Amino acid sequence: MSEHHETPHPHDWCSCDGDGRVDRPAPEVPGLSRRHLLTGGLLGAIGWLASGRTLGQASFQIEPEHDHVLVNIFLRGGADGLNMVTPYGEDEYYRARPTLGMPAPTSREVSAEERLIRLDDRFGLHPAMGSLMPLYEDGSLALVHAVGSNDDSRSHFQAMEVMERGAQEVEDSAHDGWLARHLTTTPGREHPLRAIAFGNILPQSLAGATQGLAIRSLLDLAAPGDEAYFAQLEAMYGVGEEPLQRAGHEMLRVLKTLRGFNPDSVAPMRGADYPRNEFGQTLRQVAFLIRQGVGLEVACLDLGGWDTHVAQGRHQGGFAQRSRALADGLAAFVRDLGPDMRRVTVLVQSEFGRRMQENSGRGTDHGRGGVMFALGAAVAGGRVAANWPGLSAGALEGPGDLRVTTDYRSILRDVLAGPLANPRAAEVFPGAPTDTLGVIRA
Amino acid sequence: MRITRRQAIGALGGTALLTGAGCGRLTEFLPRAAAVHATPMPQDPAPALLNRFAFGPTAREILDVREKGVMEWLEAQMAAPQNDPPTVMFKLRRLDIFNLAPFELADLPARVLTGGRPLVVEQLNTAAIIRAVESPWQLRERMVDFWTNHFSIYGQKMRTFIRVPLYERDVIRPNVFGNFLDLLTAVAKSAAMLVYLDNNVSRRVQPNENFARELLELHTLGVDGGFTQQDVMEVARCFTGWTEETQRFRGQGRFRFVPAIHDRGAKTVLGHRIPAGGGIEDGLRVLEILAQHPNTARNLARKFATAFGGADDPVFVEKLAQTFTECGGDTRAMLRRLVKDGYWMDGPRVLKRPFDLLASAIRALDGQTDGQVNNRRGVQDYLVRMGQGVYEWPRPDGYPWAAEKWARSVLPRWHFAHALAHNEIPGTPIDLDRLGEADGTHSDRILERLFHVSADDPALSSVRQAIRQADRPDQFALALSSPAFQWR
Repeated sequence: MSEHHETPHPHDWCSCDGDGRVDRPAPEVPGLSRRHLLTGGLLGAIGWLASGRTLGQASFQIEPEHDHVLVNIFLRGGADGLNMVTPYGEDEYYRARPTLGMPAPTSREVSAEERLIRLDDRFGLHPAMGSLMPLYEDGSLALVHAVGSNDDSRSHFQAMEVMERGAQEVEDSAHDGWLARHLTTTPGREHPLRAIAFGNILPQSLAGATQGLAIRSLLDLAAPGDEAYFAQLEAMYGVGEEPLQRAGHEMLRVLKTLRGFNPDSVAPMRGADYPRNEFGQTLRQVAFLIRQGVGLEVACLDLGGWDTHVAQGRHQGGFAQRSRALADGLAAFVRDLGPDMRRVTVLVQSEFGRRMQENSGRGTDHGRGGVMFALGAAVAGGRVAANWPGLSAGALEGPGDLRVTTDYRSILRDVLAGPLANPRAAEVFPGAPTDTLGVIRA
Repeated sequence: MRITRRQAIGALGGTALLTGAGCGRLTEFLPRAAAVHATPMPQDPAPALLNRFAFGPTAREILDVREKGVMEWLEAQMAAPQNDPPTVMFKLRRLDIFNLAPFELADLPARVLTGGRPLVVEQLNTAAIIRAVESPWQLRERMVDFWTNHFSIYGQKMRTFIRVPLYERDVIRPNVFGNFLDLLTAVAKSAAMLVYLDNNVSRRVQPNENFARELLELHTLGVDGGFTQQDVMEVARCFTGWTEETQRFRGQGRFRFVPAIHDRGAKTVLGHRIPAGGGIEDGLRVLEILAQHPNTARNLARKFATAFGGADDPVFVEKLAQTFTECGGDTRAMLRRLVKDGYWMDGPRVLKRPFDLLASAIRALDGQTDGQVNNRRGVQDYLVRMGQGVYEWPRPDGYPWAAEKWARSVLPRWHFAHALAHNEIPGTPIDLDRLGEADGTHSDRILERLFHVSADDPALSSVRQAIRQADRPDQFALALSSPAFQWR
C-alpha cells in the first residue's frame, strides 16, 4: 500500500465551539506529491501509454443486475440553504440579511456574477453555482428546500448522527446507518466493493454494514507488497468457492483493474474539468470506479467547511468558494460520466440549514430547514421542490429558523425504492411519511 | 456516593497494581525467553482445541495441552483466578478505564466531532486485544468475547461507553463460566444494558419495550422463540422501575429499582401468570421463566454450537440444548459437553472473524502487543479497518458469525498480515529471527508453526507453493493472508 503523507485531517466543517472561527481554505489533495508521481505514477502512465488507451476508458463490464450507483455527498457543518437556493421574493429575507442577502436575479445594481441566477419566480441559485444550471435546465437536477429531520438540537454531532442513522430523532432505536440497512435488506449483491466511503473511517451511515470499505483515495485500494506478492495472493485465492475465497478472488480482480492507478493518469472523459481540490479529485475517482463496473453501488463522500458562523460572504468568500467547489465538482462528474450517468443518482444533504437572521460576525448560526440536491436520470428535476412555509415571523421555527416541511427520509427512501431497486426500502426508514415531493421518478 | 474511583481501581487488584507500578519498567528490560518449537504430531487435538477454545495456538500452549490432556486443560482454564496475571495487569495499569469511575470517564475526550472513536472505546479495545493475545487464561477471554457478543452493547450510543468498563468487569467477567440465570440477572440489572436498551426511562405510564424485546428476541428465546408482541409488552411492564441511579449521593451509576414507577398490575408472560402487587420480583420471575424455557436452551445451544462447534447441526444442537436444561444453564457443563463431544476436532470449520485473526496471527508469531492505535498503523487501527472493534457493533444482536458477512474485511486482512510479518506495526514487535532459531528457516517450518500439520498436507498445497520463492517476511505474510489461515 502506498504510504500517504500523514496529514491529520482537520474537521474542516466545524468552525465553531460556541464561538466562531474563520473558515480554513479548501485542503489540497494529499498524495498528489512529486514523490507519487515519481514512483507509482510514472509506471502507471507508461502502462497506459503502451496499451494505447487511457485507464479512464478501460471498462471491465460485469453487467450485474443492479448496476445503479448512489453517490451520497454530505455537506458537513450545516450548509446555508437560504443563500444557496434563495427565496429572493421574500422581503423578510433581505431584512434579516442586510449584508449577506443575495441580490435578486433582476437586480440592476450589481453585475451578473454577484446576483442570483433565476431558477423560478421564487428562488434563485447562488451565482457561484452556475455550472449546475445546465443540469437544472435539462431536468436532471432537483433542488429540495425546507427539508430536514425532527432533530432540533442544532448540534452538529447530534443532527448528523440522526441523519446518518436515517432516524427522525435521536431517541429512535436504530443505531446502525441507513445505508447499512439498505445493504442488509438487499442481500445477494455481494461485491467486496459494494460500498465505499472516502474518508478516514466508515461514516455512521454505513455503521453495521458488513460491506463497506473506508479509503482515503483509490491509492488505498491496493494490495500490500509488490507484483510478485500480488501474484502469490492470486495463486492462493484463485480457486475455491467458499465466501471468503470468492471475496478474495473478486477483490484481487478489482485491484488488478486499479493497479497503476494514479489520480493524474486517469484522464476524465469528454473534457470534464474537475476542480483541483480534494472534493473534485475524489469525485473523479468515484467516476472512474463507476466506469470500471466493479459492483460499486454506494459511494459516500464528505465536503466540509459549511459552518459559516463568521464572514460567510456573498458572491465571494468561504461560502461561495464551497458552493463553487460543490457545483463545479458535480458538473465535471456528470460530464465525465456521460451516458453512464443514466445509472447514477447523486444525493447531496446537510445536517441542517442556517438561521435566517445574520449574526454580528456577518455569518449565520445553526438553523433547521435546509436544502438537498438530487441529481440523475431518475430525478424529476428542473425545479425547486418544497412545501415552502415562507419566512414570515409566524412561519419560522424556534429562534427564527426556516421550518422543516419535508422529512428528508422520504427522499432517501424513494431513492432506495426506485433506482436502487430495494423492495424493502420502507423498512430502512420505519415511520417515514409516505407522501413525497415526487423528486424521484416512480 | 456514586461508584468511586477506589471501587473502579479494584478492577485490576488494586494493591498489587500499586506496588507493582514502581518496578514495572523492569519487565520491559528483561530478555524474553527463547521461542519454542512444537513439532506437528498426527491426531493431535491441541491445535484445534486452541483454535476453538482459545485465540489460536502458540507453540508453548500446544505443548501444555499435550502434556495435560484436553480435559485437564479445560478444567484448569475454567479454574482461572479472577485477576489477570501480572504481565497483563502491568500493561493495562495506565488505562483510564481501570482508574477512573464511570462519571469521571465521561470527561475524557470524546473525539466525536471528527466522527472518531471515544477514548474509552479505544481503551476497551486496547484491553481486549492485550488480553486475547497475552493472557494465559484464554478460555476465559474467549467466553468474554462470546458473552459480550451475546449481550451486545453499542458503546457509542448516548455515551453508553462510560458504563461499559464496569459492565465487563462486574457483570460479564465474574459470570463467564457460571450459571446462565445469574449472568442474565446481572445483565438485566446492569446500568450499561438498561441505559443502552432504554429501560432506564421505562415506567408504568409509558413503558419502553426496547429492553423487553431484545431480552426475548436476542438474549433468551431467539427470533423464532414463540413469543408474541403481547408478551413483549407484558415483559416491558414487568421491568418498569429497573433503572440506573442518577442521584450523585445515592450511588450514581448503580442499579436501582424504583417502586414508584413500577407497574404493579397483574401480567401474563408466555402463559405464566404474574400476580398483581409485585415489585422487583416481577422482573426476576420473568428472568427465571426465560432461563428455564426450552427455546432459550435451544437458542443458546445454537450459539455455542456455532462459535465452538462450527455448525448448527440440529442433532448436535438438540443434545447441547438438553445439556443446558439438565445442568440449569451452567456454562461449565456446556463447555465440558462441547469439548468431550469432539465435534470441534473434525466438524466444519469456523471463520476467524477479524478479532480472531488478529489475535491468532500475533500469537502464532509468538508476538506481544500494546493493543493500541498509532496513527493508523497500530494494531488496533487494523482491527478497526477489518471491522470488529469491541463494543462497536451498532445493533444489539452482536457481530455476525457467517463467513459471507466478513467479505469486506478481506483486503484489510491482507494489509494487517503484511504489516505484522514485516514488523511494521508499532507496539506489536515481531522477531522472525527468534522464530527461526527455534524452528529453522525452511519455508515448511513456517507452515508447521502456523498450521500445526505437516507441510505436505494437501490442504496447504497452494500456500506451500505460494511462499516457496518469497523472502522470509513475505513468506509469513502470505501464509497469514492465505485462505487456510482465515479459518479455525
